[in-house]
Amino acid sequence: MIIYVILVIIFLLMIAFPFVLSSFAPNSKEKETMVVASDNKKDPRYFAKSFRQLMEKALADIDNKENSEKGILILSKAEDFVFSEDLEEGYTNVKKLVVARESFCVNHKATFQKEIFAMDLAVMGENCKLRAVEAQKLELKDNCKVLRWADGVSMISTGNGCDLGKSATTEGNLKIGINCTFNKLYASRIVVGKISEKLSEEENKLEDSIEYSSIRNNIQRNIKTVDDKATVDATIITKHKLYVGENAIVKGHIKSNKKIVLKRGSVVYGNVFSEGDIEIEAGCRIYGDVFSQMSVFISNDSVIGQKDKVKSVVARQSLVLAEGVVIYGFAGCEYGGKTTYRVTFK
Amino acid sequence: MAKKVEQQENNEKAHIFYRRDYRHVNARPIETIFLLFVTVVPFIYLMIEKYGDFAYWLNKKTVGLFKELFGIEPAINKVKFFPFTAPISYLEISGKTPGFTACLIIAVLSLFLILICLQIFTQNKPLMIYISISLFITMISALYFMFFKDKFPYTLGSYTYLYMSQQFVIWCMVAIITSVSLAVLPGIYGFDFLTFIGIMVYSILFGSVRYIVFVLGLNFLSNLFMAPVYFMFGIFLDFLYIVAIYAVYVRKVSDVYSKRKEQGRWSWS
Amino acid sequence: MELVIAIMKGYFVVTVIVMICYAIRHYIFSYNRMFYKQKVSYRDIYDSEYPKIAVLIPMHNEELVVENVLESLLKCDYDRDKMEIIPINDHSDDKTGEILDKYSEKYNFVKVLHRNEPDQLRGKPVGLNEAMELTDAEIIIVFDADYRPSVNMLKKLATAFKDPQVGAVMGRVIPINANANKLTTLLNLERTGGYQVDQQARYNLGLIPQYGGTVGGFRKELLLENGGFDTKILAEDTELTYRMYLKGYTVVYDNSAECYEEAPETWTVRGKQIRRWSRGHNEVMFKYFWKFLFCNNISILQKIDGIMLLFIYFVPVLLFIALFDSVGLFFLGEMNIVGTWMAFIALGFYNAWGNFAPFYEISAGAILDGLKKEVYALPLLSFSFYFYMWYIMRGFFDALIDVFTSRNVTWAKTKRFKNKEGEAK
Repeated sequence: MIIYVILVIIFLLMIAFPFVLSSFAPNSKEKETMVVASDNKKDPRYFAKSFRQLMEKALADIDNKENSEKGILILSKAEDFVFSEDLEEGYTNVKKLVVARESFCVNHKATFQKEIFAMDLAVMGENCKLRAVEAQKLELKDNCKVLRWADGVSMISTGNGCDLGKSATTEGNLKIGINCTFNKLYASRIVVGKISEKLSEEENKLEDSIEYSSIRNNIQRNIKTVDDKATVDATIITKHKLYVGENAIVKGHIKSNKKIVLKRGSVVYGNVFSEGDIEIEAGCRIYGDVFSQMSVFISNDSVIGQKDKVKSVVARQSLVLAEGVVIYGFAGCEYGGKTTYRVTFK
Repeated sequence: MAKKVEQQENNEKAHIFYRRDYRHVNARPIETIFLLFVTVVPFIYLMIEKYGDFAYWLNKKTVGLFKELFGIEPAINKVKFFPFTAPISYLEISGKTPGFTACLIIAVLSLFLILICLQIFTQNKPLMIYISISLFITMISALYFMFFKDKFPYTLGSYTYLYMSQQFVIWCMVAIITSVSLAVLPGIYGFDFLTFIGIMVYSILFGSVRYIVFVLGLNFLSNLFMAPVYFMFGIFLDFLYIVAIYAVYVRKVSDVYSKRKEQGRWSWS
Repeated sequence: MELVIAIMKGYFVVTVIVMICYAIRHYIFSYNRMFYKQKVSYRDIYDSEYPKIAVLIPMHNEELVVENVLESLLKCDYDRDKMEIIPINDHSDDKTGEILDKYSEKYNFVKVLHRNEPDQLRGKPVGLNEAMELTDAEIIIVFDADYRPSVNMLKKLATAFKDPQVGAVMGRVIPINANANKLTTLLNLERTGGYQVDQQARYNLGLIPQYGGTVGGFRKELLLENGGFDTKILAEDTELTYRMYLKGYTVVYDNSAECYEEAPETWTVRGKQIRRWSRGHNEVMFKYFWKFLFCNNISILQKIDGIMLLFIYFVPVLLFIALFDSVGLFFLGEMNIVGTWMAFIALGFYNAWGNFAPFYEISAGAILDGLKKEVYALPLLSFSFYFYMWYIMRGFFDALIDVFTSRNVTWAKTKRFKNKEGEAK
């Protein structure tokens, strides 16, 4: 009998275990685990602006002698810093945050392990390595490497072979050299290398813009090609690979569940979206956004977007920009983007 | 070593980690297949080889308790259940058939308790609905025994046979389900194997204890309760503890993967 | 009698097969979400041109929460010239109307639709239809009154429509009161499994992510082409999903567009909600099953997923019947369907896969979301299964009656539990 009673108790305890376990789930006095960030704004210059705000606030307190004597700025935590004019001669490895109250030019190879905040022009010499930089104007010479982000309020210019980290942003123009790598670029106008004379002349004529309301919304479905020099007065939605012929004009948007190829000189008034790769040959003009769940390749002298408007080129994988490409707005990718002299299509 | 640490720190600094929306873990197919083999295959093999002996041992213990509690010693029969396993043991015992009055009381009581559950205890509706369904099956069983007592197709011995054969399948299924369910989560080496062992040990112990408790209990009460016990306190109870132990594993994985230094386990693109 | 028994056995086997199919489906989704590259929404697109949107907020006696949602919307960073907010005051008899009028007087882009006539049809679909006629916006965004959208929510949702194939977009809801009690903890877990894993995996795989009726938006013209929402269907959101795909458009799921919602805090309220959802969803199933099956715009995989989704509120009915079917077989001495051993394998599958399937999906979601102690409540979901089965079945029979009688549906609002400041009552 006792054994049976013990077995019944064991049985009940074993049934009770899941209920006892569930009593350890959070109760009403505990903080919620999943917090929704309700104040996030969609801003490509978010890191830079936050940093600038912190720095300006911290520098306003710089008259506090105790702190400045210790070389400490209070940002999100206390940070050791040094004014640029106080850097030791011949420095090669700077471990403190650098504050430049005037122009800051680095003419030799140096590594900056903390951020650089320049209130005017910052010029990083060849082969410099830096964690992040916020400047009024920014110039990176050849082969500079940025670990996290770079921001120049009014302009950024880079040499060849630079690594621009996670993002390079400016409200002004961004000129990016060849063989550079990046993840996100943002500017009112992004130019890769030198733009051709032809495009340079045409740029002045690029006052024309396509109004959102004039983009065709009637749909043509499941086509595979647009002939050379043809005009499509519709939006194209297709489940096939799509080839848009040379100098063709599509007056609407394009969406394909597979690859899209825009042949030389083609024009699209609206957005170009694809589940596959997007290949944009030389001299194309797309007035809207370009988005691919895979990779985007843009060949020489193609222009994405419109002056005084922000448009985007977004690739879920890689983004390759050839020399002469102009993008008004944003260029981003996950796997890494690069600039090159030429893009070769298979 | 210092260089490796520095490199790792640089890698961490280079990352801007996204939130929960699109992160994922890299698949580990080889480890997953290895886990499945190391857990399921040996266990199924063990079941095929040893289940017959285990069933016999369990029945022997049950017979011992029958003798102690009721002064009877049911015979242990064996029958081939699966073609490739040893014969499964079960007890030869008819059990108790309830009288008309007892059935009536149980039927009325069941109905009354159903109404209580559904109307009064509304704070915990899921549990009440579960209990109500159990009581409803009890009521059906009571009504059956009131009017079709002689047509009841099972003896208590049938129940033991049903239970023993079903338990074989349950334990195999639990092994497969556990392994497969562990495979769909990111793993912590060794801990997933321990979780599997934990679930199987618990399952075997629970199944064995439940068998003895239910068989002896049914013999004491009557065959009227065979249906509710079979349907509502059978496999369903197995799920409770499987999920509970699984939840402990999930908690552990979540803890590990939430740590800052373990962020390298996540893939951010 | 033998025929009856054969039907009962056959029914049992069919139910098991159905459960296995759903279990495999959930497993594929869990594996895809956990281990594969995710298809991102269009959140990374920056654009200075956004379409004109109208934010519709159906309300009935929402004086406790109305200011929260309006204040949140006023903080949104969407261009006010391109935005209208249209709260739909549907026969409220509290101060909802008064509060809305104050906002309307203060902001010219807030336009209130009062629906107070006693002989007017009530309900969310009717209200939305009327509100859509009042605006020239291209895109309609719908929020429930208890939601609190974040600053960038409207832009996130509107960006999806840059893709010309997108007909609707759906964000993710997260219970703000997840720790209130065991029920809300369980609902939080279910939401985690449903959104973080199920919806995202369906989006990854190019299947049918579902538009959920709130924290989402759709192209107005696509709906108005066919006369707006069907006022005889309670689940206007599910109906919109299928309509979009039948027309050759898609639904985008944006896992990053998160918004708080208030989960029901009592089982009674939850039961009513589930029953309503079941009724609406099954109404959609009756209406769209054949159309969807034979539509040319949809791929085979989308059809399979879409049909499984249509039946999701019918499967518990099958299970409920199967339970009593097996009880019947038991009393008939027929628990040996195709030889004894098959019976138990079938039974094992039936219970194992059918009941266990959501757990690994929820567990995968919990790890992705970083939930910890919450997962200890998982075993209690086993009991929820019976609860849902009961209420879903009742909703199914409601839907059947709707189909046969063509009666008008009336909208029942989910009871609120928080007051103006977000405190529990």
